Amino acid sequence: MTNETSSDQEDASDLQQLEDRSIDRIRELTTDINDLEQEKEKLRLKLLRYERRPSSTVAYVLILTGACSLVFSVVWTSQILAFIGLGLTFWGALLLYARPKKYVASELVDSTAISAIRALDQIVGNLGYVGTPIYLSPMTLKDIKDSRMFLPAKNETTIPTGETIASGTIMVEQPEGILLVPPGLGLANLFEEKLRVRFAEVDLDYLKTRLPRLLIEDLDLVEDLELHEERDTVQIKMKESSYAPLCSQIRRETEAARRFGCPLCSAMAIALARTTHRPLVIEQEEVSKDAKTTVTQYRMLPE
Amino acid sequence: MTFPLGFWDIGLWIAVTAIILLATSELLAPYYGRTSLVIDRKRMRLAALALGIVFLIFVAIRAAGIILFE
Repeated sequence: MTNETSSDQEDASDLQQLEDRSIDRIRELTTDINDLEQEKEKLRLKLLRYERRPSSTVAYVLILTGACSLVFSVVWTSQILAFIGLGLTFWGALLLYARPKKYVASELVDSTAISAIRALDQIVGNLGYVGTPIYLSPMTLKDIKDSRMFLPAKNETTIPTGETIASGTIMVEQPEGILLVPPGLGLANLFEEKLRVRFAEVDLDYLKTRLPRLLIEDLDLVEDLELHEERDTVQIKMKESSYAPLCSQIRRETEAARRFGCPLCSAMAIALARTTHRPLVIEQEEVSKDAKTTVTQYRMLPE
Repeated sequence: MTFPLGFWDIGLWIAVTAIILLATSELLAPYYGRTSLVIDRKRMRLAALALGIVFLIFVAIRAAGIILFE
């Protein structure tokens, strides 16, 4: 009996020791994890600093070397050194001048945008609305800079009355659906700002000539853009769009939001609705296998 | 101690730099790949045009000099 009691006591003591050791080990591991996390954060900041500064560092090095070369050219009366100094100083100054004010990696923008789109997707998904979103003409809106898309509950193309839209209501009863701000509104307004026009005041020919130039040369959003009009449909073909990864992610990860189109396709829809003064739907959106080319077809609805 | 380059030497340097810069600014594609140097193409083009105009001014001075004084 005494032996059994002492054996139990030993077991209990062993268990206690084991538990203590485990706790100590967990503490050690937690400390290690914290240290590693801190180190990771330090490395991340260090990497960010390196990523942020290359052009300015190169520019300052060039200017400094160029200035030294110019000084020595005067001291030694050397034409070669003077030419070298002029060149280096000039290119250094040029790099400083031609450095973009703000450079943000597209991945960062995509990560910011996807959360809002997912939230919208969840709301629309829970409502169970299955219709195709209709981008409304600006004529039905109070403010010309505003834009709305109507998502019908069923697959139909009936649009709410102008009064209902102008009242600013979100949930519409007749026809049943929801009035939302399209994901590309900000982008469409930016296009107008850059072109210094209102899309509602220009025609489709203007859009055909000016929009590709804006998107390719000024904003660097796409490598190539073609706009074809045929009766009630407009087809837009974009190559190497900066929004392609986000578009693919939206198509892959969302159910309802994919019907609205990605921000760029949505902005195009707004621009077209404003220009043609007609409501429209995104009829088709095709992405090539290599995800480099996107072809979007918009269908204009009767006014 | 004087600066070793004369007016026409600087004109020559501007000519060469303007040509390089104009060609570079035209060749820069909207997508110039992942480089560590980030360049604003618009400003680059503006600088190239400015240098090109300076070079043309040098040419005009030279031409005026030939017509008027030679």
